[in-house]
Amino acid sequence: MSETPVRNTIRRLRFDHGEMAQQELADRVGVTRQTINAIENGKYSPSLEVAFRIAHAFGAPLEQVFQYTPEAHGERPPSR
Amino acid sequence: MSYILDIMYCILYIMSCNLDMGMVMSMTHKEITAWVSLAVTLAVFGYYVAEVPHALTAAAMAHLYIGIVVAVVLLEIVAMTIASLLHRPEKTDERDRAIATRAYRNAYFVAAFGASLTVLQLLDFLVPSPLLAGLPAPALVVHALVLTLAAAEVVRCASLIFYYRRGA
Repeated sequence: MSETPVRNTIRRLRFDHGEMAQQELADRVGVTRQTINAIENGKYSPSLEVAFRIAHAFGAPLEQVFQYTPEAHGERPPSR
Repeated sequence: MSYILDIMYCILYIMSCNLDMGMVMSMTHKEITAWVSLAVTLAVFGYYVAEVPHALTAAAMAHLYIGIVVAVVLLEIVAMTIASLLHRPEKTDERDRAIATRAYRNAYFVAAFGASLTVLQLLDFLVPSPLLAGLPAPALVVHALVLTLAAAEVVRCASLIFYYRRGA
């Protein structure tokens, strides 16, 4: 089962927002509950638009919701 | 029309054997319809394969072909209606579209492979005509194309189920 290099804090943010249900978040974002579940478990990387919609639903900046972790997939970080 | 009822009974029997409502309710409507389409395709084209030895004339083949097309359409309508009653359809989102695209891509490869084999056979490249004694060349092409369509549809449905189950 392949996972994406994009990590997220959706589970934590849902907890912080009064245990918001996946279905409620899905309704706010305009996707299915199964899609929210797949994103939350790192099995599906959403489009930029859906990523922004999720962040907007939590009233949080995008980088607080999603983090790109190339090291977890064996990619080297960019040299500075 | 009696065989349509037979196929319908088979589908309902298969569905009733595996009807774990907890699992069904956790599926999206799209996944349920993929299971239904897979069952309909396997049942109808299984019937087609079983009837091919009895359809040796052009008229019988045409009758069989039209019969399975009508059967697929009717069974899909009935089965999808039942599926919609069991599970309320939800709107299509970007993940559904991505999964459908990947499933169609997989099915396309199967369809292209089957069509290529059929063309090669038309050119007597695979099995020389004398070895197919009793089976007219047009009949072989018809069966090959019908089964190619069936295989492509099976791969499409199986791909949908696989991607939805895996969580992609």
